Amino acid sequence: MNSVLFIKDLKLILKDLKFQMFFVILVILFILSAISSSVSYKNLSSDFQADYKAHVDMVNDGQSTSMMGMLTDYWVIVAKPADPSLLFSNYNTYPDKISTAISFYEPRFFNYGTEQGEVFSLNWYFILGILSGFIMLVISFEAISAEKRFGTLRLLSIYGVKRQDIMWHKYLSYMLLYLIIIIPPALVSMLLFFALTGTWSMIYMAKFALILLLSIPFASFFIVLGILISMSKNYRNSIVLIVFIWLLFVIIIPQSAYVIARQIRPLKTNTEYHQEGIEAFNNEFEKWGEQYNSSVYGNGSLEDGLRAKAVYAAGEKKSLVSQEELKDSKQQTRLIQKIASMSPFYQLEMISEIIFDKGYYLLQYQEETAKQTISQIKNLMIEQDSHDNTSLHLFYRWASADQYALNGMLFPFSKEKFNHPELLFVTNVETDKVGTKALSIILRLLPILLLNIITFMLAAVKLERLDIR
Amino acid sequence: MMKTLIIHEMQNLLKSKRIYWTILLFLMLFTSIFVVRVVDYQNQLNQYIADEKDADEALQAAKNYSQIKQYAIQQPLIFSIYNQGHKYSRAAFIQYYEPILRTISLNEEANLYFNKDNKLDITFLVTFFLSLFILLISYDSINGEKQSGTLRIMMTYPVKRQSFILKKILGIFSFVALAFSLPYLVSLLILIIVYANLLTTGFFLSAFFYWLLILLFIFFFSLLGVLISILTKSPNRSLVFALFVWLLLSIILPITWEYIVSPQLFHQELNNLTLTYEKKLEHSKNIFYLREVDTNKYNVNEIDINKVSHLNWSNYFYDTSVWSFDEAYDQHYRFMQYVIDEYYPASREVEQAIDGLYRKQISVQNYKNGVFFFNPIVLFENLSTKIAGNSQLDYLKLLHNAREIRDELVNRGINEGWLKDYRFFACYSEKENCGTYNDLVKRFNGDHAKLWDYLMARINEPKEAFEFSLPDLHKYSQNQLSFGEIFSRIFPYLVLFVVNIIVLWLIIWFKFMNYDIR
Repeated sequence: MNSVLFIKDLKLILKDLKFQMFFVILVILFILSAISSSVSYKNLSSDFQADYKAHVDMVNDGQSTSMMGMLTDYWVIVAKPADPSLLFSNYNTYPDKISTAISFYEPRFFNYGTEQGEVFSLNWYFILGILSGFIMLVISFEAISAEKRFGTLRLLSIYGVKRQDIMWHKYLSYMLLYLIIIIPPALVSMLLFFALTGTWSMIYMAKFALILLLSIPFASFFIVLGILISMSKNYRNSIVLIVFIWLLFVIIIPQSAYVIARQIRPLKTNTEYHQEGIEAFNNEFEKWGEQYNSSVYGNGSLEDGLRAKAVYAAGEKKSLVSQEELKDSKQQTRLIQKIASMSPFYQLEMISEIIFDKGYYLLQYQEETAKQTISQIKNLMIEQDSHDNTSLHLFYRWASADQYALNGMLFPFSKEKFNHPELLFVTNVETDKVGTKALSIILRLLPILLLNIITFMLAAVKLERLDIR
Repeated sequence: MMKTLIIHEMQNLLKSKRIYWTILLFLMLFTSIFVVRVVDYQNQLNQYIADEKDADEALQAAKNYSQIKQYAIQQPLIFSIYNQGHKYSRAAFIQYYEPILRTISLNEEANLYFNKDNKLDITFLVTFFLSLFILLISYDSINGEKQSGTLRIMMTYPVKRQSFILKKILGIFSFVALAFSLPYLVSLLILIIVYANLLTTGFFLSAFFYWLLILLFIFFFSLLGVLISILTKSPNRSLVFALFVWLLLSIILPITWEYIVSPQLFHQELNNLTLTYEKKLEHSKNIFYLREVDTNKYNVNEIDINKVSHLNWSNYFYDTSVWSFDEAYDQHYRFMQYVIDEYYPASREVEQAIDGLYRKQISVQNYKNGVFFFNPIVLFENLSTKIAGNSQLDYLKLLHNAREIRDELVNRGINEGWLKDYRFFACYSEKENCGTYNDLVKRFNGDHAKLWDYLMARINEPKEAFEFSLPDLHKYSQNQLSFGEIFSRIFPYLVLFVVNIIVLWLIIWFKFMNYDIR
């Protein structure tokens, strides 16, 4: 009996014109997202390759990997190459490249091809996180009312089918339907993407499968909501309310989070931070000047290294401003995420960041890696420098700037090449272990699961009391 | 007759709960977006006032010609509250460092690359939400009546089909138009009270055209809703159909354009233009920093800016109180001559490249309008920016104005001679020269501390050393939109809009005359 009910429901839905209509849309969107993502994958890869090539050129050039050049010109780059996760979502939350000066931790961010500003973008997140909820809502809003209209609900109760069973079968058949309309086109989209980009990767296939699985509770919420309103007397009126819930959760809250967070925690412009950095540098330098008088200014005296120390100290003050900039923008992003998290649907994006190692989640580990790499490089340089008898003081950044003043004199700084150029371009960033990741994903899923259970119970209670005549 | 029909239809609409929900939600959204945008505008305005003040103070504090910086700061448009438009980072402001040599300012570069911000304004509310709400109100206007049998009863009365359908359409239209116009007018009133002294005729013109356009938009969607209701049998089906159409017009078509069609058609060209711009910028920087010097014409040692003195660089710009000796003055003169001959032409080419890029972006936008001539959402989005006066075209105008002012200053510098002569230097004057470095050392008997104090005094009070008075400067004046300008901008698209409406109207007319009312 149960299986008969189940198959009946499913057959009915499959025959429905609106189902066929939306299925076609989904297929087209999935295929288009594969094509557009593969294009942006290629663009981003070439950007990354250009970066890497510039780095290799610098190393081969030798000028900037000389010990002195490293301190004055060289920046360590921590970057993430383009990967298939683009198919799920664009890089839109955080930079994908940090570069920092070696002598100080002075982070700067760069984005490979950001797609900020668009409310919607064409990728899996748009389909699974935004559109599928809407489609499931439109498909399921007549679930009970149609049965009631045709009198089949009455018939079923005569046969002695429990109302709870009806609810469950409705729900399960819609869930199955979701899988039917999502999984085949998603698979096609994934394979198409891999074929177009030529990056076949089992790990990413597994990750895509996982994210498909995790999108189920998000769609399920709207299915249950659809069933719930299909029991109300004037369900066509209630759909206005439900569409509004969809708008609120999926678009209004996440979108206004950006606007509100930018008002509460505004960032200064790059120019202003730059200006502040220079001021910090000058103030500190003047302090040294007041203390030691003219040996800090001018060309100073090389022997006591006072000017060098002053420049180094002032540089550190300047790098503090850079860190302030980083802190500000991180705080803003965290506020955006906090506000947006009021909508449980935003969590899907956060979960995808954890699964695919990107965005704000990755940034924290990138930052850690950058700091560690710099201290590692510094230690290696100091060690290498200690073998060089001609070198005076390696970490005095000003030295090269005064190279002009020293024209014609003996250049007293190490001209040796740094022995570990491979440390200067880091792509390998370690993030959490699988267990920790799983735990944080489950925590992020909790609100949507809770919403699901509550709405389901509401719907069940309503069905129990429903006048089926 | 007509009036009673419309009033009757509106009363009918008000009986449905759905309408109350819709209106309530719309008002909530309108209020919250309006408040957010006003706060944002106030921030921009504060920034603008601060920038203006800074610019004036910097100008008054100028001690030599190198420190004259002309700014063209655009006052943020009040109408940007309704339509954010092409956004500039930080209150639309352009700095340029000439005759201090930097042509493309940091802000301009930032605007080119990072001006994308997510949009949440009244235009978004209209295109995204209002369209949905109209469809949700009107999707069962005809077949709902048919289902409940009232349509049949209606037709037994001496009511013509024409006037019935007219009543339906006008009823829905006037209802939504009223629901939009009331909060719109109230918000305008608030703005008029709060920002009374900042209002211009341009603002009222924009507000008027915007309102007119929204009425057209509402009319189009009312027609669409009624048409859907005629074409489908049951209200349930027409609801699905309406949602489908809305999804298609507001999300799927624009997204497909943005991510598939547009990249295929224009990405390469835009990329090339960006590359050209970057290359030219790099080239001009190389010229300025003497990395690419025509060695047949110039001796690099003779024009090396680093040999002028230590105090000439400030924040990467050649613009500070310069003190120096005879040697440096000659160096400076040769360097400036080199800049005028070589760097300025190169930097003008950079500006042309950036203009080319903007023009291409504008033409891509227009192309999109042509392709989506049937999609009022795309048309409205674009037209509202044109009306508000914050489109890319307006930004381009601002750039041109700013450059004109700068060119005027540079040309004066060249003609009057101060751009390259001693008037940059605190140590040079008609009355008293510092002489060479050795002269100075002799004068102070080798006491470097005294020499330093002397130089600093001349930097801080250069007016005693030489005559410097601020020249009369041409100020940037805000661009105001006129009625004719707005009208000519939107006229072709307005015609498209109206043609769309007429076509829809004809289809409805034809369909409803043959409609089976049973």
